[in-house]
Amino acid sequence: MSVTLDTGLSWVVYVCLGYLLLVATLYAILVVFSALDNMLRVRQTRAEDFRTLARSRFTVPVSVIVAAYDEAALIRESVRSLLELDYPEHEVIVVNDGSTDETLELLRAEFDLVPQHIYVRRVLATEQVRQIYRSRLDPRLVVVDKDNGGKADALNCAINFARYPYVCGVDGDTLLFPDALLRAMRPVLRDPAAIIGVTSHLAISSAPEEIAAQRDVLGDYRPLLAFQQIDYLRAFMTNRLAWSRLNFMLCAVGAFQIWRRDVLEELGGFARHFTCEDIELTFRAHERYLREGREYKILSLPHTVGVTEGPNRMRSLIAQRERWQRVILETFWAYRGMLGRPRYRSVGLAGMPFYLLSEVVAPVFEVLSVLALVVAAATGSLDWTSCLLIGGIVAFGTGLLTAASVLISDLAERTLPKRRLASLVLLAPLELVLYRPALVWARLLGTVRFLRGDRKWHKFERNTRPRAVAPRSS
Amino acid sequence: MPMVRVLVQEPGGAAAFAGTTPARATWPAATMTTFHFLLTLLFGAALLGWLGLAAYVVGGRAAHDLRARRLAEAEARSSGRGLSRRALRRAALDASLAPHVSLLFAFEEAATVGTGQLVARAGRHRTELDKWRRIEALRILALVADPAALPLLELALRADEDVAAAAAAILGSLRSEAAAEVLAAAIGRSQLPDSKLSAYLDSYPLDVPGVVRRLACDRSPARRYRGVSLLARYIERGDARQLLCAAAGDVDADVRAAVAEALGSAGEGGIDELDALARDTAWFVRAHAARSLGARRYAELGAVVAPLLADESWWVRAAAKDALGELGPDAAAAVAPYLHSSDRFARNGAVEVLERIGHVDLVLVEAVAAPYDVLKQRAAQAIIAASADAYRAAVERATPELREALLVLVEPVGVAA
Repeated sequence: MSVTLDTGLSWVVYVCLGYLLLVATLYAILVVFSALDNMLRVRQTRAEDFRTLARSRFTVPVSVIVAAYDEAALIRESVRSLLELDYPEHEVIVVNDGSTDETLELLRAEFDLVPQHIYVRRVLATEQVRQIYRSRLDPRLVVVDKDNGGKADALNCAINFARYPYVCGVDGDTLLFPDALLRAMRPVLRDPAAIIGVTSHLAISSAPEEIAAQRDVLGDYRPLLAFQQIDYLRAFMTNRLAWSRLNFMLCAVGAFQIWRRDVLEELGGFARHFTCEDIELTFRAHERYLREGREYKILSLPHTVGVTEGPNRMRSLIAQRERWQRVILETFWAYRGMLGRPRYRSVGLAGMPFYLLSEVVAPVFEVLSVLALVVAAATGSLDWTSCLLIGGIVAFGTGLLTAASVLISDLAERTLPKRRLASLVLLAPLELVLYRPALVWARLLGTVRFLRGDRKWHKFERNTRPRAVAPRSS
Repeated sequence: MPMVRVLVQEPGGAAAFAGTTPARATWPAATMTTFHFLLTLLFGAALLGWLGLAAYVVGGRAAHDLRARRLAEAEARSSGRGLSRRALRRAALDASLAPHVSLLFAFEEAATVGTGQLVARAGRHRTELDKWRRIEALRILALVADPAALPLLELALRADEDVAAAAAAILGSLRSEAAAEVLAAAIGRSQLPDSKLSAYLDSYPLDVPGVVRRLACDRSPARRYRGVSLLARYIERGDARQLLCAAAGDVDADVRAAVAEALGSAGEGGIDELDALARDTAWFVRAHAARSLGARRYAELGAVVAPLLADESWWVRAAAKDALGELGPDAAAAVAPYLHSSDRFARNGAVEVLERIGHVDLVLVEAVAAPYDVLKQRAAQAIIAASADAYRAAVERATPELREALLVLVEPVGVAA
């Protein structure tokens, strides 16, 4: 091999190692901030009087909104979990976004829905509403059937119906624990003027309905699901908690996001022209508030508030993560103006650069690192021992980060059994070879599709389970 | 860039190491040794770090489970003996424990540490860690009913947000009028939102009408507003109701809104005030009045609420719809004229209300059952005309006899079933 090629290769190895070191250092810093934030939340929670909050008429009421598109598999359980939330005052608004399956029929039968004429303010423009239903079993439940317009459109439609000052967006495949709203709203009740958004950790399962009842969070023990859980734990416990503490919480997740309704209305609701709505809205809120110099907070909490469905097939996982990568790139590109600008404070100076390094360019570096190491080893520029050592460092470094996430999560809520904790931390180093390659592939695909301008949703195929059947209505 | 320079300048330097030909550019032995050493060091650090943290996670959890078991045992035998001081402090602080258990642990901790030190600790804090110790000390002092607790809690309400929140929670759990007085005094003057302080006063374990009455008569409108809101708990007391009715004429609209809201839970009286508040100049007062009128469930109040279907504020119209829905089928007569309103929202609202109060068919049933009631009959026909879908739904649900009668009703308005 020519000297020039070897030089080039060594450069690539050098840059990749430098990138790895930089990202690892950043994550280590974030872990410290996450641990501090977690400690604060745990202490605040321990000292909180939830009994008073749960029955007080002074607790701020919340509108829980659900955008449902082909959610027949879980919609009944999901809505039931929302109606059973232990909260003084809340309503549930489900928008059936032109589902092609039996989502609406299942809801009609399960909750005894009857058509109603409800006239609302059309604060946000949406697709045509076909019919509105109210439950005869529980008047807090309103179901809106509308033409398909995408998740953002459905959420906007729900906002038009929302009557309470805070809106909690929940996915149709997410089951919340009874105290979810109370725990998430606790910081809001302390400072409603400043807190405009809240999100919190969710557990993953291929069948949330099976584990939600026992509250065996992270109860899905299959490797693919366990790796996704590890991924979620890291994303929440070592990323979002620190972002939240440093005032650049960049993504309130769609599966559980609480927003002040006036903020949503002021921002014009969820954006329809992005592949996914949650990250974009978070960025937009930061952009608007910081540009106008207004004080605000968007928080991420360590509490596990519910269980959401995760794909149990590799193909579905890749489809989901491909979309996530595309959304990240779309959002980052749309708000690139904030990058490095002091006017956007920690979001522009820390959050955006971190996002650029850890999310936007990560797939390129991940692929480049693997290729460079393999080529360098194959051509003899680097011996195999070094390659294996580098691989080991990355594997156990990731394991270390995962163990930190698991520790933070366990300190926040002692809900997981010891065996489960042990399995999660022991599984972590294997992620590099058993799970990460699929993610790298998905992220590459997402990057390519973003560059091609693909904006399709590509919703992941639902996990196989016994077919949901709508009971015949009387 | 030393790696690059070395690679270019010293070709063939480590031929034996990598097993490549001497002519190729590769790493010199010395650099490789250092590189290997560094990599091995990093690998070792990562491996040991992971192993250590994994052990800490599992071991820490095992220790926690053991502590929890001991705590449960201590709880069962009502003694904190065998618990560490840290465990005792935590138990005394834990709001989820039964009050008598917290009290027991608090006494043990107070006896161990001494109240003098607890008082010093509860007085102020310098660091973040101190802050939580301060909160622990405050709670222990309050639980053991130390005389210093109340002034210290009062002071804590003016401290930072966490200390103030904990102090409010502690005060809210005490059964003394003096503690309630401290909470009430903090309204409008603490770091905490007034709604949070009000929540504790509203669910106070002791009746404190005097404290609330004083708050409702405060000179500050913000404090008066909270006081009036809290009076709802004592609405069945004649003096509280009287005070509320008098506050209906308050100069501050927030206070009037609170009066309107509070009167909704009154068993008797206050109707005239609600009637007046339903015509208030502030839209939110009208909205609260409408809801309260609905909550009172007097059908004759429909005539007061129905005009609010055409209010200029959307929120008042929405509240009026809800209220009329609460009033039930008897409100139909008051709502029916609004089916012909020139205001589109009032028309739509009337249909919505009539649907809600009986899903249309109930109104229609009444119309069928009382053929001489022209107003009801007209209302039913208007509903059918305004809402053909609802009519069809009603026909679907109706018994065969009722369906027959409904078809008769439909003739004048010509809706196909």
